[in-house]
Amino acid sequence: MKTILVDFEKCVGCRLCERACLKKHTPEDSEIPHEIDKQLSKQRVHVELAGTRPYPLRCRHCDDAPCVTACMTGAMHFDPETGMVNVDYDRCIACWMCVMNCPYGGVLPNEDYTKVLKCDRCLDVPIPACVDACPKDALVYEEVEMRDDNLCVGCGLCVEVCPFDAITMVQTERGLKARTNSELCRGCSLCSTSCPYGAIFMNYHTTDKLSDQIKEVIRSY
Amino acid sequence: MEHYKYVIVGNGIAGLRAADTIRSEDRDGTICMVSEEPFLSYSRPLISYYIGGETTFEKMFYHEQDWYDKRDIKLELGNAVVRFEPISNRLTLKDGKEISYDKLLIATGGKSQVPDMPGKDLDGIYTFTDLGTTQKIKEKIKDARRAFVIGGGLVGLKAAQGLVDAGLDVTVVIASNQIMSQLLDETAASIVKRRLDRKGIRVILNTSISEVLGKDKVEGVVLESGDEHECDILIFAKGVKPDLKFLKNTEIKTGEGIIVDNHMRTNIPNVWAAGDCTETFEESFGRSTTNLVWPRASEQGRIAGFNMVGIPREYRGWFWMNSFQFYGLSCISIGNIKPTGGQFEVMINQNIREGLYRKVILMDDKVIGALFVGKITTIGTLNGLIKKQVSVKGHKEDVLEDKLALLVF
Repeated sequence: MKTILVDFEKCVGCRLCERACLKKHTPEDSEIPHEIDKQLSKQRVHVELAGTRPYPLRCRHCDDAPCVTACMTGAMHFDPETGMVNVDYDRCIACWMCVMNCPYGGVLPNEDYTKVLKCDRCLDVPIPACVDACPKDALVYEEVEMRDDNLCVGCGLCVEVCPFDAITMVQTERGLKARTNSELCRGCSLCSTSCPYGAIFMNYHTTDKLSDQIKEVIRSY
Repeated sequence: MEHYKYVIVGNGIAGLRAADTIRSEDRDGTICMVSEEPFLSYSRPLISYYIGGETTFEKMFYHEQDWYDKRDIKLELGNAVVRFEPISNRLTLKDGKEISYDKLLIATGGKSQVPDMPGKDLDGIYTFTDLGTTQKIKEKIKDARRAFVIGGGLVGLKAAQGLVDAGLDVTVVIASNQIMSQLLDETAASIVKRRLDRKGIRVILNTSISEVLGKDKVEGVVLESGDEHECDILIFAKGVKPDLKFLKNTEIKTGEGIIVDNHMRTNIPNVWAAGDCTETFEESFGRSTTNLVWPRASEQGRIAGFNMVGIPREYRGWFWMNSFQFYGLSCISIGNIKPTGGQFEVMINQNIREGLYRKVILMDDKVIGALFVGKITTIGTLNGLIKKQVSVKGHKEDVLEDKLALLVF
């Protein structure tokens, strides 16, 4: 599964991601975005200062998302095909249950407080606008699950444990190797924890990355 | 007799979430949903929007019939449970059908009742919790002009908003000295009340009604003060209590609601309960209590679903929260917003004229309550802080601003 990741060591707080997001979600022919389409023209990523450190807030498309559980009209829903949490604007009545329940501040009211807005991961383009605009590579769009073919012996255990049927065994020049369909992968990490050869690992939740993040939080205060 | 692996009584959000969760974890187990209401699961909070014409009948429903068919969820709608034998795992329905089960979920929600008073059975008196009654109200308001709503909580005021939007002259009668006394402090209540005044919703505080006037239909009400007012619709929107009627004389242990443990299990091992009908121990209240609010019901339904298929999930308690919008004025209230005693620290940031008000309550450097009116962006991060009991020492000023993202993670 591909997802938007943040390396906040690299974020300098330039807010180019906000502007790119706003531009992407504004109809192309409008000159003053907020005036033309108050309903949907607004950026869905926000750079906030935490202490002295800038940090981009955005939707993480959680599994078992608190905003989906809280939505009382059924507008906020999890889309199993894309692995994303999306809003059905037709159903949203702006009751703010989702805003109240999102601990990441990733769901926001729109300009005139009539609908909620959140990251839609810019699915119509290969790279999300915020990632594309980030000059410091603080925002990246990456595969969550990584594999080392040198270690994979083709045992097929990962195929069996994957709850999303995302992994298949493929005959390559170097023998049978596991391959993941990133459309189906939800990044649950079952494959990496069950691989007896350590051939699969999670790109995001590594001990190094987590300890980097913790250090950074401590340093920023 | 029909047999199902899972039977769910109630078509509210707790029942629906449980059915959805069970099906996603157990692809083969048979599921049956039983409800006395003749409708597919619909959004109960939307009934006021339906009255006001802001939403359509079709949009009230979470899913169409097709969704249930695809998941092989059998429905017994409009078919109330008349007999329940938990020891022999058996239910008898209104039409005489008998159903047995391996595992049962009770998610019957809450019911409100018209209090005892002269004239309480007249035509034109309604409660405000279900779609069937709402359809009757919608029919009735076609030739009604004046409405009285009893109860100044969120349900009552939303009902009033719906009726005003439908073109009626509306008065709300509230027993306490402010609107929404559970959700708002006095300042916030006055901001919201001003917005309601401006839209023509009349509010009478510190009183209730003592008699309903009329021959065979409602013609007026008498307030406790003796004042008489004309009206042709009367809506009771208070005193919603867990609906326990089919549990009478059964082995299921009940107090105010059905008593469940933190896995939503009742005293009978293969019977679970979730949503408004339950009574749970709440740390934030310090006692076992019922709490008839939507997000709690939704969460409990999901937790019960997981536990019923054998995946342990714990209910970690709930604290008071709700969010709403009246005519463009947004408000979110989380946790303890009316502290009593001395060891609290209250921080307020306000601009009443602009309709902006922010109040955060701290105890031992931890956030215990937050009330935002007007601009509500990122209050969810405060919700996270309350839930996780994070100390905000050294960042107290940031709490009133939108600067708390990092403390949560």
